[in-house]
Amino acid sequence: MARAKSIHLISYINFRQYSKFIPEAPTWDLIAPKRIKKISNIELKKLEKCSMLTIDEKIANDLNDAINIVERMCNANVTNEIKSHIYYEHLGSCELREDNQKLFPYENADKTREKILQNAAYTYEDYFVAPPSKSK
Amino acid sequence: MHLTLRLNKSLSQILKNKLKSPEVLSNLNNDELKVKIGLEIHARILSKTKIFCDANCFDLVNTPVNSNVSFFDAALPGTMPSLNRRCVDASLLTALALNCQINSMSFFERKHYFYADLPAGYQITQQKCPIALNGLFKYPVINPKTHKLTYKECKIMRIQLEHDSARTLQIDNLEFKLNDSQKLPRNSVLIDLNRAGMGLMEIVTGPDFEEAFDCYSFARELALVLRSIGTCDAQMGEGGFRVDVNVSVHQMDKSTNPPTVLPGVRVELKNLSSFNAILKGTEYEIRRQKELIRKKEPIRLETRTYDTTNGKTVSLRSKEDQYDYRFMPEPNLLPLIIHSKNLKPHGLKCQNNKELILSEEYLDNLEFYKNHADFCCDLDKVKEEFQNKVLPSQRRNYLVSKYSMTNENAFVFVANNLDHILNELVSTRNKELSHDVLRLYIRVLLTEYLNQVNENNDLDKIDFKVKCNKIESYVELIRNKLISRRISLTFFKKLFELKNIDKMAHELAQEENLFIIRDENLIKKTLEKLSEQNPKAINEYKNKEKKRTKIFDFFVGRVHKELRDVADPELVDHIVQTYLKSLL
Repeated sequence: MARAKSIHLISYINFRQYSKFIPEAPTWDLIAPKRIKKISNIELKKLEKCSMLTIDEKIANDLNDAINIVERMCNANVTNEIKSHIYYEHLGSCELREDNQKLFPYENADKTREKILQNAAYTYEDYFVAPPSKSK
Repeated sequence: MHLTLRLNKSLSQILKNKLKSPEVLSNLNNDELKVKIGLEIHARILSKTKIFCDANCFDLVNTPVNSNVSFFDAALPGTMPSLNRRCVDASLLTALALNCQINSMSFFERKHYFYADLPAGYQITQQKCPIALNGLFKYPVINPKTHKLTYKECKIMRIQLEHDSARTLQIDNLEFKLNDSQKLPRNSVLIDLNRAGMGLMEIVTGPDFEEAFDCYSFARELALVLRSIGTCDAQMGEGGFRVDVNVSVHQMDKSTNPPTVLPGVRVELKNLSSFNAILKGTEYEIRRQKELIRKKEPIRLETRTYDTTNGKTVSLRSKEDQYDYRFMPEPNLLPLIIHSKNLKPHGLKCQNNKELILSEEYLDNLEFYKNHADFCCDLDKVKEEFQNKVLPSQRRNYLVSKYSMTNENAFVFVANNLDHILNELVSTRNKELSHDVLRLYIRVLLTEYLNQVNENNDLDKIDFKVKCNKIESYVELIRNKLISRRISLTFFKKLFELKNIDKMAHELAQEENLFIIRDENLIKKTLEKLSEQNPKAINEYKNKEKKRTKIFDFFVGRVHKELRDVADPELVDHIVQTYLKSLL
């Protein structure tokens, strides 16, 4: 497999070395690695019990494929820590409002309260009434 | 052979019985159980308006229901958040006070959950990259047994900005009609949005605590620090300072070298309404978990609260099903940039201390925002403001260095704000301050005045200067021995009653005739009158030597009672002793 060559990649990522099992560009074609991991039947049965699902042959194959894809990432050399990236372009900084600055001229508190409560299905002594809900 | 078998059988039976007995069950002693406690503190920011909108947020207690609410708080469609500069400054001041690393760039996320107190269905918080990280806080602990002061340290994992949820009132078994035809469902919840949207700082500590008293001391010191820097009023009763305690007790595996700590179960204590509840609740929870481990019973992953009536923690809800909060970036709030000469955008850290990298274009754009007043949050200005704040540790050091106070006394002074009174008393004194007068001030403030702080609810209504003048006048009376020590406490209490608010100590003493009596003739006459009224006691004094001490005390007590406790105690003792000896 080709190693990472392009300079712009290197400018972002420092000292990253690829394993030959990891392709240069994203691809749908899975090249079989030397060691293929396979989940044993005993482990599958345990998974069935934990997940309360029936794992048939298709699901087992998909599971094996998923594990093998992840296994390749484990083969990558990450001895130097890989840094996460945030790319903000043409975005700015958060605008700050002064503490005593009013955004809109409110007439007074009573009128605002009226407007806010007018859409409530039920109110009781100016409280909103909500039905009992499941605890967070 | 048979005998050996029988012996073995009986031995095994004894062992079995022992296994069932509590002594063997509790063979796990405290050395083999490690306690880990971490705290999450939600401190309400002192500001005029809320964190993401311009609704007022003062005087929460006296404000009518749902009157300090904006359209954003009610999550009406089309409303957008607008970050309050004061809340950012407050969190930076707190970060400086707790010795945290400040992130030059922090982000806001949405934390989703459905509950009636959250109209939008999500809370705006900082999850991945908060405003400050990795702090270290030193707090004093007074040992409850030895009363010695020591200092301990605690790691501050993160400080993040978020907003508060609404206040809910649970209506249980109360049916009321909205109108003639409709009825509300049972267990309905009443919602007051006045509190919704108020700025909060969430301060998360590491699991560094091992004792409940340390948590209590930390919480008290943190409240004092936040009050000192003016970012939070730290009133637990009003919900302005909420402390959640996470307790886990772990078994130690001593077979390895060094011993390893086995995983434990973390139980969260919430809704703790006072510092005492933090202490008692944590103590009970530690005992409960240790007991369960010793009995080999499982500890459930749950949220509990402390029931002050019964003195134990009770389960609120299970945490077995971990809730997925579906964190996502808040799309309506851009990254918060903190500018400073010493703070570079590189070296930005998020949770787990991972480093973030910014693109070059973005770094170039930052220069524009640095010079624009609406976008700039200047850390250097906040640092200047922080230099003018006086932290509790500085106040304690000042008392120790200036007044040669012990560390323990300095701790009590600062915890109860007595140092302001002492400084005022010392500064207004025209004459030179002698060592005796200083000791008297300290003694009066630590005993009589501190008693009043705990008992007198009207003390806050008295002006600070008036308080200092009253204490000064009282100390003058004590110093000149114009008042008996037998009534000093009750006299001080009377001095600080609201009805005597305008009176100084000597005025009150004159009005109520409480000046010390040193008139020997009066005391003798009183004693003679009492001895005529108690001939039996006199006879016993003459004839029974063993009872003389008791009778002496009796006459001393009766003389003081007759003279309303204002007589000079030493003079009374001397006169009674002389009189009784003369009878022999």
